[in-house]
Amino acid sequence: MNDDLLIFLQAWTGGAEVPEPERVRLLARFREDADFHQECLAEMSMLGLIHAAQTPTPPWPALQKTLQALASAPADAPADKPRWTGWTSLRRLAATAACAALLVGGGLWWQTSQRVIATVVNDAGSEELANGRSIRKEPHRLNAGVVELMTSRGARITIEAPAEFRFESAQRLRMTQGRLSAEVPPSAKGFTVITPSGEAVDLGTHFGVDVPATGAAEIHVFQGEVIARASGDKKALNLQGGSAAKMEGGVSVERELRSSAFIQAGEMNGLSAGLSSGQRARSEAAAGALLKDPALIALLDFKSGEAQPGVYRTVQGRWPGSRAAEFVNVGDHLKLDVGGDREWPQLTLAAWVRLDRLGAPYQSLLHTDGWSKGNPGQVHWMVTQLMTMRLALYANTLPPGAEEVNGYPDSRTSVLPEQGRWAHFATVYDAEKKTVRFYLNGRFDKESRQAVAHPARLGKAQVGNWDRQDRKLSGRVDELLLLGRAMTDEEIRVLFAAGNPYR
Amino acid sequence: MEPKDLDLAALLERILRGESGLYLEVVRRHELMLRGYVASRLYDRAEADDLTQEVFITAWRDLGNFRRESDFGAWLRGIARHRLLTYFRSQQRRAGATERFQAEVCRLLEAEIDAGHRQAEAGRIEKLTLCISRLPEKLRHVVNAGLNGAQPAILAEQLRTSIPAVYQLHYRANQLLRDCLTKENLS
Repeated sequence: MNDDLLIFLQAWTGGAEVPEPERVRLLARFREDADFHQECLAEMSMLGLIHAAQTPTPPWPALQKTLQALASAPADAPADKPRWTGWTSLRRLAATAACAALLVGGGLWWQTSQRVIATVVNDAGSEELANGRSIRKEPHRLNAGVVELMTSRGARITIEAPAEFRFESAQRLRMTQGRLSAEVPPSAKGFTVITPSGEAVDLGTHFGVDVPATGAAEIHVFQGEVIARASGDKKALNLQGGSAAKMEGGVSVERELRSSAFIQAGEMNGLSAGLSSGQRARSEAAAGALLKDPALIALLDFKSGEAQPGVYRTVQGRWPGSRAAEFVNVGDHLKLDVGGDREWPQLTLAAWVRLDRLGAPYQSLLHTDGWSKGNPGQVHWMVTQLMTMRLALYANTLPPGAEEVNGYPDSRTSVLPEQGRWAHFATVYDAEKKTVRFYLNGRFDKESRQAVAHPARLGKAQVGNWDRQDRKLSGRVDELLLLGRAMTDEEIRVLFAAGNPYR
Repeated sequence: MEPKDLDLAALLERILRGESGLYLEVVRRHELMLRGYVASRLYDRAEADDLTQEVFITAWRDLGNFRRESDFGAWLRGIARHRLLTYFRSQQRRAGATERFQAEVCRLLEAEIDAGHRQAEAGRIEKLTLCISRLPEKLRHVVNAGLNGAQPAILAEQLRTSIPAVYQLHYRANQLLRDCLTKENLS
């Protein structure tokens, strides 16, 4: 690719700043150099064709209204009018159509001249807002999935369902429910998100806004700077990158950052491709097979809509419109009481987890309540401060010389790269073989040996916390599996592959 | 006979006799070509699609002026060319550098209605979808994302590369797509 063609395309698509003298020179070459002219045209044509091939057909609302208006207008074109010469009657028809559209449709031509504020540039499972859809000032309700919008000023907004929002202009988005992340280039500096409890004004940055169905809105700044202003508060709070605030009761209060609670543009392609390739059906088939497994203790997939006891948010899971438990605040937890009637010499624990933040001493995946002396085999499964998985069974011991320095079997691979993405955690315990095997995203990670290995004991347990602040998980849990047998490496691989929302 | 089974001349004849609903079939047959054409002159997805719609409405209003021995696709592109020039003129005052550049390129192409678009029939565009799916993952990602607005910068960040390198990747993808289309058309 020659340099001039590269710069020409940058100037033509607007992808990079090209100085005015350079643009003038390129236009002159485009006019005078036939080969260059053809090269540029070939690229422009291909980009146009790709647009047509990649984006679904728009609904053509104005065109539909024109035709509808004509259909309802009085017929004044005789059917036996000579073909191709009925220009007068056709023009009359068209005029009737235009007038009818103006009256009936509230002004067709006004409508077509309305500026597009944003365009859906990517979607994963959204039925309401398909890729390519133009967005103006109308209100939107997103029941399922995630959409990525590009405003006319270049701001990239990713919105996760359930959400209700409306653009007041390209620079003002009103959101009454939902979760968005925004990447705002200098051209859209000042982009503002208005929520029921306050607003976030961008100062050139990358940030997220979470507006839950009930409760206060939160602003999380990943990079740059945002002004948070709670409704009715005269004071604004300047939030720098790495900080967050909750807008509640007319004031903005700083809180811990949950940068990964937000689906961002980079994750969309994987989610979208996963859906297109039929991953959801494969996942449901795999879950269906697990339900028939005689060793199943519990499969918590939140499908039934029946709320598990505890304090947590029900949010979208890995699939559009599916549910998962989200743990946000200190004290959030989910209660479980399964498998307490017997001992489990073999136990498989697996879950799809989306960690929002790391750094807490321990993040609870499952903690049985009965952890105490005289109660061996109680199970504590968690993510540690070192970002590894741990499976601790009460009164189990490591063999002498074990590499684990903290007294419990820990996985080797850090879960850190999986922050802000759905990841599959699995641990297989076998008291008879005295082994604990860890898996991350279907891959075997490490086997730990146990010197003393009691059969596992379950019963009353908590997910996401364990009555203490230092067990608080920050993030979402989807499809928590407890199986009273040891799954094989291949079974874990298949379980991950079937349930993986990304492609 | 279903509308999809009618040839274009029969469709147009019935539309002119008052069966306005059949015009949607005409739109269906030409929308890929026309959207591709407009987007190859006005590289802004939303604006290009809105303008395409306006072309179809204008074509509907002027259908009686179409000479049936002519190429209907070329006629639509002629309307689009005129509409594009009007669009760029109307944007002149508020246009940024990109729009001004696109406007000037469009003006320079005024005499070349079909330049670069003789092969833009629907079948070819449908094959393009297949060809895109066959691209190596990295190139497919670049093509799917497009080069609109801030996208090259975002891609550069995602791929940990420079903006010119993103354009190089897209250029490489376009070459592969052209090769693929040639093979598909031969097969």
